[in-house]
Amino acid sequence: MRILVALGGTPYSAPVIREAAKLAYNTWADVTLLAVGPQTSGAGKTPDPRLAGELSTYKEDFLRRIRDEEALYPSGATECAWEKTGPWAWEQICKGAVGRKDLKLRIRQGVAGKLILEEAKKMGSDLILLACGKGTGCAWEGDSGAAARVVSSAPCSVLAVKEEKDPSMIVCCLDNANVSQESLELINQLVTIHHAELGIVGLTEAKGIKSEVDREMAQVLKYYSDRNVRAWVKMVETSVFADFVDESAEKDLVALWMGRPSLLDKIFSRQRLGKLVSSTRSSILILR
Amino acid sequence: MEDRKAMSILILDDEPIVCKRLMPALEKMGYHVEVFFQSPEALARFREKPFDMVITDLKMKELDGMQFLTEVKKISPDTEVIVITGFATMDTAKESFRRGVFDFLSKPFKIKEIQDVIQRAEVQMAKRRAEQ
Repeated sequence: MRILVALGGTPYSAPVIREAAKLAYNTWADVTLLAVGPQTSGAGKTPDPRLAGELSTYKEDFLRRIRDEEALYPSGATECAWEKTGPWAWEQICKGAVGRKDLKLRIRQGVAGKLILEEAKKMGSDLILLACGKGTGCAWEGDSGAAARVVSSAPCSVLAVKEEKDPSMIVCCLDNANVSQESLELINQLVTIHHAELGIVGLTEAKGIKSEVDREMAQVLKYYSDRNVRAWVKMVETSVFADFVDESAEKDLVALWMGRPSLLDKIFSRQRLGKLVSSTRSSILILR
Repeated sequence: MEDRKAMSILILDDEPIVCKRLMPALEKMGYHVEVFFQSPEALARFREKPFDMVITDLKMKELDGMQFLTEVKKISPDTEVIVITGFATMDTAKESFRRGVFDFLSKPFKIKEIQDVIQRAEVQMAKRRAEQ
């Protein structure tokens, strides 16, 4: 698994580092810590020292949380330096660092949403972790719409991390028959890591649930039951679905299967999705 | 001209969709690939013909992945094993390495990721052959 951790140099980053460390500790994923900020003076010859300093602190925090007795990530580096990899783009290269898995540090400066998506595509990420505040937004300096753009357009699942909390329930909402294998596998990992129960919620309209949604829910339920994951099923009407998500997100981890075409896309337009991600108190997972 | 035999890979996963995805991608790289959905059949085949590499899931009915890879290593210690799992934990990762796996990948993963791991394993195997 490859995880991209998008950090905005804000106080929101601490919970996302904790979540990243927990995921990495259990999944042995390759991790990229990406600090994104606006372009500064100096024509981009060297990275913003503020971002570089913060990223080094996050790296230390990440490694400390991993309690890396298995030498999972590179350590023992004798010398680290920032190397320019493109316009307003840098990667930290460390000599003498050895590890079983990759831990990369990168800085990009420019429009945050666009850069996070570019980085995700380039590295082939399976999951993006976004640093977001608890009920106060996922603000990136110079790009207030970054989180909305990322959750709407990412090539993979996105977890907007809010507070430091272990959910005992993961509530997965679907409205069509487009549940990807990758998303099923990601839910597996989260259920395992958090020892959580799984709720599978189907979207239904006044005239009743679509037969393909009903079939898909049954298949998803069977998938997890076969793997001894405690799961339950519930139907929620379209008219109250947005409120249901708002309420569930208060205490549980809500996951939205945003396939195409998707009623969820219509209910949660990019603006509404961005608002949901920004305003809820709990983490939100957008599954692709 | 040296006749280079294609490396043989056995894939074991009880989810057919996983095997369906991996098999063509690895065959395209020039490997000889056989897929199995049940561990007893996979083990019987491995006893007939020890493969160069095994890619195995962990959570399966009957013989689970951990027992399977232990048997594989007993039959053919030089076979490199890559574990793939949707239920990764530090403990299962550590146990896998204790039993001699080459690498441990948690699902989901992109094809490129496992292709990179296989190529690294191939380099290690070539080095070992050269040293013998």
